Amino acid sequence: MGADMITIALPQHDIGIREVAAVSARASYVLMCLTLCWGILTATGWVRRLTGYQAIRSGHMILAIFTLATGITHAGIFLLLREQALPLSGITVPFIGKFRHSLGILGLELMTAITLAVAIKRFVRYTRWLRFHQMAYAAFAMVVVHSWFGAIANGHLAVLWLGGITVLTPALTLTILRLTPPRVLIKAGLLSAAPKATPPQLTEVGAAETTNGHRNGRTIRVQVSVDNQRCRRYGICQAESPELFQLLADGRLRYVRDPENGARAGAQAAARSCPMQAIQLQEVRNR
Amino acid sequence: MGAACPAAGIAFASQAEQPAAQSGTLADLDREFLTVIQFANMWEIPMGALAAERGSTQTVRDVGAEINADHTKLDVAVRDMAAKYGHQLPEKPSSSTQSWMNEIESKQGVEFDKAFADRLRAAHGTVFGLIAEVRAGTRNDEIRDFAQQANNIVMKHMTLLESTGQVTSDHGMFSEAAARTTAYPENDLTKSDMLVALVVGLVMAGATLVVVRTFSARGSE
Repeated sequence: MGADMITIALPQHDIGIREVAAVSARASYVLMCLTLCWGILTATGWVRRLTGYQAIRSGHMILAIFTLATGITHAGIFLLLREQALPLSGITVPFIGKFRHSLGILGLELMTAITLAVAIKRFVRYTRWLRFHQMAYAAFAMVVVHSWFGAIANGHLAVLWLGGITVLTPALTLTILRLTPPRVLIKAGLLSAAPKATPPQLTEVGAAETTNGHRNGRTIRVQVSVDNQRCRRYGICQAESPELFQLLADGRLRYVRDPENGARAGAQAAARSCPMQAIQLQEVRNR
Repeated sequence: MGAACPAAGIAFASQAEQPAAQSGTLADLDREFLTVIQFANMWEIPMGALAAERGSTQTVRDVGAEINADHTKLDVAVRDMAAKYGHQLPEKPSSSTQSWMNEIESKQGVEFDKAFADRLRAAHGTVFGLIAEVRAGTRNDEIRDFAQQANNIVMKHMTLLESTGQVTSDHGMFSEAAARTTAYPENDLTKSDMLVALVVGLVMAGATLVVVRTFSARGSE
């Protein structure tokens, strides 16, 4: 089947260009699927017994960079065609060309933004940064659809079918696992059984602490976010404030993002005592 | 068995005649050349015949008849050549040429002339480069002769089509990019393709689950 790949002559120059476009697209697709897998493994630590956190995270970053490099090559090379070349706007502005091109452009630009955002991580609140980083799932979906429609448009579906599915499946499987609540995975025997993880209940607060939450007669609440990449799971926060922080047996930290007023002191104690300084507190005014 | 003997004899004789080993074999580009010629025949013969009948001017009808006649000759020649070298020719038009045929067939009058001249001119422009490359670079003497004929014919056809005055640059002077690849059988997925994909998908999903189950912190305290 694969032996009869026939190329009808366009200008010879363009054949070479289009082959580079195809090869870089395939490389980028494979790397992107692996990046997603590594990203999920970084976030969850599901292969912790195989290799360390830093190794997986470095792998995720390297794969992401290569995905971008090959993806940008794929887009940029269309500028060099002699027949039916795309202008710069054709590879950077979505929704002015074909729909499948728009998906590719949006996906690539979103991925670029997500990669650049890693650099400013320390300046933004961690949970906000994480939400933005998680938009990579949307970018992934767009680029996958773009890739399959591209393969069909070029008559390559039969050639790429199996390879495409082989690398896509692990990424999809891990995504589904990631979106599944951990207790379902634990019940299915996939992850370790956590101890009876009762959701942290806020304890009754004393009168003295309640006054802490008032300033100029207004209530001030505190929001908690924990930087997963700094947190080393020492568990000191749990010792300081067990009503807000709880380490689960599978290594994840569960915490209350939006604690009741009275838990301020506990949150502050935990943030102060964290050796990695991974706990961020932000005060918000009640309306 | 009896039929195989003369064939073997001929093969032997031709090898003896031409000691240069490369003369008897086809390079990849030579094979591509034969395939492309056959793809061209498969749509230009019927389209030429259609133009000879439906063309709105005498010029278009004459051009259609001539293209039809030339490609019919090329069809015989390319089949001979393919049989001689054991090259498998395609049996049905590629999906892009099929869509051009549908487009041309759907039109009448001047619109028909335009679509016919434009589409055929673009397709000829596309194969012209390949034929020139084969003519210049092939190591096979017979292919070289054949490429020279084909080159002359394609050149003549481009000139004829342009002489109708109906060639515009609507489609470019080359066929659209997607026509470049005519992977055979293109996007057709058979039942077994689906089945294999299903199996591969299940195996990969299973492997992923096994990896997670084995290497997550499960079991360790």
